[in-house]
Amino acid sequence: MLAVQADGQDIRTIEGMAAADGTLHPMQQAFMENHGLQCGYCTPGMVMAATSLLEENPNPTERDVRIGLEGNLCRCTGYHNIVKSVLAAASA
Amino acid sequence: MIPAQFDYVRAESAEEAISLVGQHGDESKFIAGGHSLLPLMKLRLAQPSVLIDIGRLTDLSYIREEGDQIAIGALTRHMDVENSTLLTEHAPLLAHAAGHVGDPQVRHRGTIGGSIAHADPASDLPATTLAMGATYVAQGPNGRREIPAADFYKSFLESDLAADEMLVEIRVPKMTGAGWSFQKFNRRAQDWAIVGVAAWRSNGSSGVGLVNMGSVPILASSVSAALSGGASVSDAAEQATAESDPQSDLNASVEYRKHLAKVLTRRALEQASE
Amino acid sequence: MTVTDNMATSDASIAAGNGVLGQRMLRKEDPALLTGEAIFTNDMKVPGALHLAVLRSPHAHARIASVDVSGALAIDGVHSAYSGADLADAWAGPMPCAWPVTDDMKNPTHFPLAVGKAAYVGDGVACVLATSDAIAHDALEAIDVEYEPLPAVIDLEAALSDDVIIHDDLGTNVSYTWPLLIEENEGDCQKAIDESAFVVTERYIQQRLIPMAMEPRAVVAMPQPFGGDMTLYSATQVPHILKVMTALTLGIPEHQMRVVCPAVGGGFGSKLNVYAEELLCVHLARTLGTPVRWNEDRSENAQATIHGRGQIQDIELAADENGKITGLRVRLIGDMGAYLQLVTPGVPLLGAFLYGGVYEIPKAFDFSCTSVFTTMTPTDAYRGAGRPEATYAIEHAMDALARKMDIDPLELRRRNFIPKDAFPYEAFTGLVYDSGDHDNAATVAEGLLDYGAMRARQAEQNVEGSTKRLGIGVSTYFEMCGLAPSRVLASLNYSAGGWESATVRVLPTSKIQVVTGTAPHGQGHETAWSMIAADKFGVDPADVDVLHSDTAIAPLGLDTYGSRSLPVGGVAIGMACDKVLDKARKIAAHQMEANEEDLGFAGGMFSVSGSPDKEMPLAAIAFEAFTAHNLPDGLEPNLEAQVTYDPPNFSWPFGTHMCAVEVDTETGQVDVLQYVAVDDCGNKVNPLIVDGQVHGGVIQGLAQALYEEARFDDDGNLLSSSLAEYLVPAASDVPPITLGESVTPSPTNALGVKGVGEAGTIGAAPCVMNAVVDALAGLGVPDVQMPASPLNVWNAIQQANKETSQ
Repeated sequence: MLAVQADGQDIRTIEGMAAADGTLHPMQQAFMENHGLQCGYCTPGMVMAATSLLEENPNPTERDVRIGLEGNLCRCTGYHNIVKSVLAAASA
Repeated sequence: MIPAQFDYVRAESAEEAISLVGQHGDESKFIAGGHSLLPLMKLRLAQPSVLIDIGRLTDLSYIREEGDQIAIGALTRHMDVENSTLLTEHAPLLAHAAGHVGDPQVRHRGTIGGSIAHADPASDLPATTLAMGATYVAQGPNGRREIPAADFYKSFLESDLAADEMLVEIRVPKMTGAGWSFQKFNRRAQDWAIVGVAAWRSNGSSGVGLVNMGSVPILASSVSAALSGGASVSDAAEQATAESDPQSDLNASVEYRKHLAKVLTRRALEQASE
Repeated sequence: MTVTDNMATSDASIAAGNGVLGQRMLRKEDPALLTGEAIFTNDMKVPGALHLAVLRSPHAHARIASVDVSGALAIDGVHSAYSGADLADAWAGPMPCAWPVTDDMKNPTHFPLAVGKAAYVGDGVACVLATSDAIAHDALEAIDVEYEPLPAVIDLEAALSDDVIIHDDLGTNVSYTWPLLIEENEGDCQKAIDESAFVVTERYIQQRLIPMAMEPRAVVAMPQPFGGDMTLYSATQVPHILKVMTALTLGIPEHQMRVVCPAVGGGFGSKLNVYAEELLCVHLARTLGTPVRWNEDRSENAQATIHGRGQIQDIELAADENGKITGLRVRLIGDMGAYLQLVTPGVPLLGAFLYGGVYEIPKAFDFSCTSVFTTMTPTDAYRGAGRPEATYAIEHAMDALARKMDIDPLELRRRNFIPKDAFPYEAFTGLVYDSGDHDNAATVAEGLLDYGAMRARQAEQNVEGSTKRLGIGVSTYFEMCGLAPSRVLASLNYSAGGWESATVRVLPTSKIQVVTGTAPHGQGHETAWSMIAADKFGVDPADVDVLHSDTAIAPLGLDTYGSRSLPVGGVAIGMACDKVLDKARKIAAHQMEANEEDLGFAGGMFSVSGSPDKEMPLAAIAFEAFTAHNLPDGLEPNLEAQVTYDPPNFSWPFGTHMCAVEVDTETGQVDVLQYVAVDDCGNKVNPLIVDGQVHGGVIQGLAQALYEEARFDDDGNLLSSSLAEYLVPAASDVPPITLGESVTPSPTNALGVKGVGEAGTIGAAPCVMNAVVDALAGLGVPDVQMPASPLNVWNAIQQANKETSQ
């Protein structure tokens, strides 16, 4: 979408996920603990998409997570540990 | 990946949007979710000089029961179509197909009206609503008019909408209890269908819409005619390509597409007959 | 047998020091990457920078009759614009190719902007500098180029025919022919093929792939107009190589050239290069005295960043009546693309030594590669570089042989495995495989897939008329990693060495700095290298900092590619730590008035044997070394050591992959039901990272097998130039992966490590393709063209039906 289309709206980005004291958001923490990132370039998008996914479906199956992330590409991880991270965050 | 320069105006009402498009003419384009238009603009394949944002016309985002029809506002997001309890009860085929459009980002931002107005034969919802015998409502400077889906798609990416008209509503007949199936065949879940089939059966009637089987969404009337004539599902499915004129591309030859249309139609009818 | 996902938190196999090695330690890199704090090149804020945009040829092959940039110059915000001819005198030399594989190799002159002729769609013909990226792109549309189009050359065999010559001055499209004939007696290979009980003759097409790192390339060139220094920030894997090559190509004194890689978003070989845009930015920044930046967009990345693979492989595999291999002949045609990039011609050579797979092969091997120019994007190293192609050929041919002999493909492999007790094993090529246990790797994989049960299920499912057919794929591999012993590189005509440098220093407060010449872009070197040093010094890895990817901070190095970072760079770090500890020991002995031989070192503490009260922590030694108040005579202050390590041999990771697929014969759809990978990379510094490397590699290999292909039309247009057409799979399109454990340490280096960056990719493509063909074998389908897309699978079935009915 165009930035101007978000005029007046609230926008949440990766920079706003961790707490002010530096504590990582549970999704960030789950990615870290499950090695859900390598080069890190797709990571902000993955973390945000995964967070949105869990807001809509707090108890996803593995398949739900894979489908829920189909709009985000990663070239490093083969998705295995990304999926594991999201499932871990869901059960945290 | 940087679009050419353009001006941006945000419409606050359907009337304003229509008046703006009258003012700017052919050089302007409506933008709602932007998932069809922006990729073309980034490749500079589309270079409208004015974008009229209709994305905030929240009064065009609704799903409601109107007699024996369900009326869906053109700016209803795919996600809301997918999750609508009303549609799940009375038109589950449409709700299900909306859940297969693009990926979650597209489904959160993209709108049913944008998808239909773009008239892409490879999109899921034009063929699905066509199969369902939907009616589209357009609004222009002189008020509203209804267009049957069967009359709407004129040629590749061209619809019956006039330049100063806006699609405002989609009406689908209730199909409570009908058998249905949506078969989308693609290589990755997020992609456009190589071939898709939307089908329903109820009390001797049926409708079959084909995705990506020609320059417009295809209504496979011959399949329905065969079924009405008492043909078996597999015999009827053999008629799937009677109205088609598919193209070849990276993912499919013409021959393969036609073959897929028959296989998927058979599978769809089998499922819709269960 | 263990599944690593269910494993305890450490691998006992690499016991040493303080027990850090082998732990699944979480990565130090992650917090910055997870919070948006990490800076990628295009995130850099550079006041006053001009934005470069490159006008690319829309023709695959055309004479450039004229270039008129005046239209661009008329646009507000445009600083300047240049044609290739305008910059022809700017270059001290052409774009570098570091691997002239033969003395008579043909290498067309290649400049950052084409002069006279454009040789692929995407070849730069002009460029613009403007105050914004958007204006620069607008201005490209105002440049008027007159082209005289010439026929495209897309087909490799057509290229060989020289009907259309791409580089006029070369007089041919053939770049080189490189043979590798290994026979005991002349004619042994032909004799094996003539006289063996079984021979399979196969042709495989390695489709072109686009590496598609998630971060496209990006460049910022920052001149220091009065000091004369130049800093190049680039999304590259090879800051050190880039520094030397930029200096040479632009005539900049090397000591005034600095290259820095900010965070780099994946490479897979595509950033192992010296690119036109890097040279353009540096040249223009230097000439104008202004920062110049460039950011690649996605379709530029598809067109103008190197492609991978692109080979036609003809293989003849001969075996005796028991299936024991008797000889092997391979003929390759390599697709170089329009020009030779940094290591383009060397890629097929890296594979040449691996056509024997994990098997005992007699000296009856006849390999030859002829590489040709085409009017397509240049190819170069892509994850595995030559080795996946070779492994695919031998492993796919082994399956063809098994079908011909009507024996189980796993059984055929077992009959040919190099036995465990034969290592170190001198292969038919003369190379020595360091260690291996193929039977174990195969057995672990067999157990995880439940191979026997899967075969039984297959027999039940694949009956006459079944439209959902089960296929089982097996693939083994040996990989030549740890690039590379410099003398071996010399014998292959490579222009540089294969060593790696490490510097280790203990700071006055006892914190540790490790300076490495490796250049990570996702591999977790900061974590793994910290663990190596922490283990040596008995400290917490958090007390170690790893400095890298800036030639001013880490001036020596040969960067990251070829699964070399750990077996060369990591080993160098261990050696540098030892050197520092030797010095610390001298100081400790002096301080405690003891003999060096009587000193022990454990848990960060020096102690004197027999004198339990005498001990001194490393921290105290570090401070003594810093103050230098009381050091042994003749000993220099400070604790620091540098080591340059040239590996004595390649390292040889190996493994077995297995999978089960289901093929819908009505649609051609392939679903991967289960995937098992057993990759033995020797000792593991951090199994968490190792697993991640294998996962990612497997999916890249699986993507070659099922999804990805760079497709060109007859006019040389890249049809798959966006992520809508070039099918990088998403999470929903790939299966989870089950990993099995096998650890066979390398005897070549002190850490016993082998490297793991490319392993998964190498095993996966043949594994999946073997499964697809296995599923369809009962239908008379001899092979399926990669990728096994629904269309390719369906076409193969239709073809088989036609032939059966004839």
